[in-house]
Amino acid sequence: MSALQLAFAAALSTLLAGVLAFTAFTVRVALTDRPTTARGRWIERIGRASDRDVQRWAFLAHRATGVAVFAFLLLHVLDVALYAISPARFDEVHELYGTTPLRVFECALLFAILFHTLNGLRLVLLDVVDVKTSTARRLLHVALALTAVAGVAASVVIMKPVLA
Amino acid sequence: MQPRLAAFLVMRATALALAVLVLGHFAVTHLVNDVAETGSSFVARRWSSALWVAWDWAMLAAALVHAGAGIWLLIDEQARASRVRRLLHGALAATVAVLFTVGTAALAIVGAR
Repeated sequence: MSALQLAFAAALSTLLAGVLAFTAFTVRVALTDRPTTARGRWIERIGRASDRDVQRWAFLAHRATGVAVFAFLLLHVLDVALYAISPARFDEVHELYGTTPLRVFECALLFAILFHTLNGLRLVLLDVVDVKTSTARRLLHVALALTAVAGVAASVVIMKPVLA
Repeated sequence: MQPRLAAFLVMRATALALAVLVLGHFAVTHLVNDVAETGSSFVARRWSSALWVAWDWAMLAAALVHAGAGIWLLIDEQARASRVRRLLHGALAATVAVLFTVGTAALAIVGAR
């Protein structure tokens, strides 16, 4: 591994660690902020999350995936800009994108992008049209299902060259 | 227009643009082409077209505005002390400015070649 590749791998690992720490932080916030009303706690105990809880998880997942994608963007703008300095230097770093660990990372990145995009479109839709809370919840399920289906399908395409 | 309303609209407008720009970008670089084949010759070919240069620059600008606004609000919410908040806002603005400059300069340099 060249020094430049090592620097890229180190930067990516650092960003990844930061993103995981931030995600753990948001999950902890979500878990410690319990419902304050007796009804909320009761609903929680019987296992069906209240609408407010669902919205809250969606909000935190939106935030965590947004931060994750931005963290990658920090590095990605720099590695692409290398091309303007020297195409050979760019290729040196770009080679890493084809390796198995980076391909796994790309799949994870895609899941984050898909969820953030689809949930984001749901939020824009909710701004424009008035829908019932139950419909908003169903739309979240649609966003999650589409994220899973498109994410798995694309992951197969991304991983295929190294699995064969 | 009220600044809060303007921020709200900018956030939504960039969101819609990014839904197309980012998913399109990912599809072209990971699904239509394998990522191993998107090295410098691929970039050279793509950036010889004004459409892709415009695409990439619009994506850069929209992503930075969208992420910058989102994280600005995140800082507003999480950093209670005004000194910390100002510091983090400053760091965010500087980061966004650097990325915008680096990205724009890269596209301009390649375009001038």
